[in-house]
Amino acid sequence: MAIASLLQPNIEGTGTWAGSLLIGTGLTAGVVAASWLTAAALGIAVGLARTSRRAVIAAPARAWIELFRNVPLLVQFLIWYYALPEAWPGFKQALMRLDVPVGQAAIAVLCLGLFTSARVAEQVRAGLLAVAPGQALAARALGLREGQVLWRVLLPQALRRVLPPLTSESMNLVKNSSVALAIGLPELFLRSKDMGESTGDYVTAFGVAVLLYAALAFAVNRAMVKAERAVALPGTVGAGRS
Amino acid sequence: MRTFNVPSLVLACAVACTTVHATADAAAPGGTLKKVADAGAITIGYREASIPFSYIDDHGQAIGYTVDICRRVAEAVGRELGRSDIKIRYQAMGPANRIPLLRNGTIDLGCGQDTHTVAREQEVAFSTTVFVEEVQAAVRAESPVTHFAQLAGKTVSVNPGTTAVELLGDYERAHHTGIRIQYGRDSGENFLLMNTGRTAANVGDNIAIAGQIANTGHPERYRFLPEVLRAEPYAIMLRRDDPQFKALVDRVVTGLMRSGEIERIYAKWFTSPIPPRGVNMHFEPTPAIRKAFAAPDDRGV
Repeated sequence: MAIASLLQPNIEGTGTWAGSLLIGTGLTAGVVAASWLTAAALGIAVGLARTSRRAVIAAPARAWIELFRNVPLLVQFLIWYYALPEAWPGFKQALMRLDVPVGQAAIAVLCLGLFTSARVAEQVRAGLLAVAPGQALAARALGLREGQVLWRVLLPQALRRVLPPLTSESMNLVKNSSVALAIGLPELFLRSKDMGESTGDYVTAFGVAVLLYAALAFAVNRAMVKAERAVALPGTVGAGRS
Repeated sequence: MRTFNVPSLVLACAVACTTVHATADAAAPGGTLKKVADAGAITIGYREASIPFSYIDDHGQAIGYTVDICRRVAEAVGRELGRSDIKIRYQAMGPANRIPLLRNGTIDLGCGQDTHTVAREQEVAFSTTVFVEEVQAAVRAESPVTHFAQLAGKTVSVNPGTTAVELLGDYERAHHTGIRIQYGRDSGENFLLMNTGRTAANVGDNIAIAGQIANTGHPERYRFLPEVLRAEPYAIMLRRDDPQFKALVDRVVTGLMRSGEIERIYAKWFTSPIPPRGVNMHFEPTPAIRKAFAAPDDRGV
């Protein structure tokens, strides 16, 4: 059952199903990596803005978080790929200039990145608020400017605190990437679904997909744990544990 | 729509319906006619949303083109048995359970939108072909594309996992035209991609695309390219190894074709407004359908 259907030619006739699943895994991994970077950069910026005492900075950050966090991911995918191009011709033209899978991957990165950035921002905010208030007061008393207080004192401590929840958010990103099936991105889940429909061997198709997703998520987990250990400060939360 | 589901059904059964298989074809001894006579009823298996072949109206009644043909068969069964008290029952079926339901005797006639494939003949028998669906490309009416070859280097939208994907792959290997495939999630999205100009054409079952066109209410805005990538015959599914019953079903179906009655049933579902919303499919019989009516046969693909 298992090996035989993996070695059958895929539906496009471009190779075996095993090859399709591996290429799909590569695409999933690439989309996850790019979305992770997008989400981390935007999430930290929005999280910082969210804690600002100035409403003109905090309010848009809050709107950002509520917008991307409260709309189901599937709906966001469909809006980005099907609705927005019709409402915004320039966006549609840009999308059509790209190769189809490139455009789909770009939308997936954008959509997953923004969705996850809202969640990261909330964690960053929580991390910032969890730093003892005395730290900021002491930094200011030492004559540091506001930017320095944030960048040199608060953020380094906050980010260390949010690494464990970010680990689980990063693993969620691996799993959420499968929703890109909805816009036809030929990632791992679409490939395994195709293989199941085409060969009838759903057990192998989905079984292999489960193993590959688990491997990806586990790799992300290990990488994040390594990062946690690398930056851990002796005597603080999380230090010395895996 | 036509996914390669046959082996998956076999697998699904092997896993989930071992008991069904143990009792498979339990209805076979004596055949379907004896079973119907004993039960005093014949059961039509229908699909819930295979418009306009087999679906439920707003009163929950099974209706459609194939269902109408099956009703004629059911009436003929009553006449064959010389009884007027044979009841017609209805049972919903899905792509995964239609074959087990047929084999274990829950339904006697599979009346959906089922492609007669040679592979499926291992599991079930098929009546004379009642409809022919063809894999074609649809474009917007103003498109400069008039022939399939002009899609070279362009992007077409296709349902992932369907025969259309395989056929496009074959076409590409034979002609090297650089046609690019875009997967939409379902028929609606693939049609939308073509309709909004994101893809040059929507390739798929002509009847499914005709359904999408009908829903827009503007059939004049679209057209099919003349090339047919493949034709798939639809037929009523029957239990295997019951030649007596199959002969009766075929007699009824070919009778409808010989008498021209099939034209009336066809027009009712494909070229007239149909329930529940009064949409007209505007799907005139294609040459392949005309041929199936003029020279009935029961060959699979």
